[in-house]
Amino acid sequence: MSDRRDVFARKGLLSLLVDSEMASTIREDLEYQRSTDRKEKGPLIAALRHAVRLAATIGSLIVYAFIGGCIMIGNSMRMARRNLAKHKGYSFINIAGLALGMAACLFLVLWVQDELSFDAFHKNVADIFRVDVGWV
Amino acid sequence: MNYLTRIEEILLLAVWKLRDNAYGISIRKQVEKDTGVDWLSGAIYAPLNRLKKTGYIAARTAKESGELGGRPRVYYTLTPRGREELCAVQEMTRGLWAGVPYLRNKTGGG
Repeated sequence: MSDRRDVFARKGLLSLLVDSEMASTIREDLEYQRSTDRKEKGPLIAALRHAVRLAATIGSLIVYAFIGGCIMIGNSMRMARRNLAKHKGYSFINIAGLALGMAACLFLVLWVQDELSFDAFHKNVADIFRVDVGWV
Repeated sequence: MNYLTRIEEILLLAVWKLRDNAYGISIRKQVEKDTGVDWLSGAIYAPLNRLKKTGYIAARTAKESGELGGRPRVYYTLTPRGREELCAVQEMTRGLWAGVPYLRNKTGGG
């Protein structure tokens, strides 16, 4: 049982951001809120709200870690936002291009992962080849 | 002197009021009761984590497991530094409000 607890404590993105005590505090509360949601609104809504809550919590933890008492980052963020607002066209091209590139990259990763996932359980995977026969 | 933010003050007060029973859910409920607003979990736990890192509160893990998930519950207590900080805030607030003329509008019947 204690092993299982340890696995629980270490799993997930939360453990990267906070120590194990805070992580288990947050998890307990989120579980509690999910269980009350489940009673009141059903499992589907409860799961959705749980996911949103978890994401929001992680997001604010990240933001808080960055703010961390220094004003300079806040100032730079403000400057960045003003500059983006000033050059709307270039900002749009820049961000859209970046987003497109990242999306393409993600799709490539997904594709490669899918391709590499077949027959991976064999001992000599490297020696397995796929033979394609097209219409002759 | 680096004063606390409002939510940090509210959190420290909640932990202090709850005494031996301050854990995640009870702290959130106490803050909800004190402020009358249903706070998002992130808005509670991010400042709470920072208070812990700064050393205003300390965590201890209970021996028996909590209600949900079978994990031992983590309780929080104020450290001496946290108490000092709260006292400083109390003093500052008292000084700030001392000598403030009556605020409610007397003629408006308020």
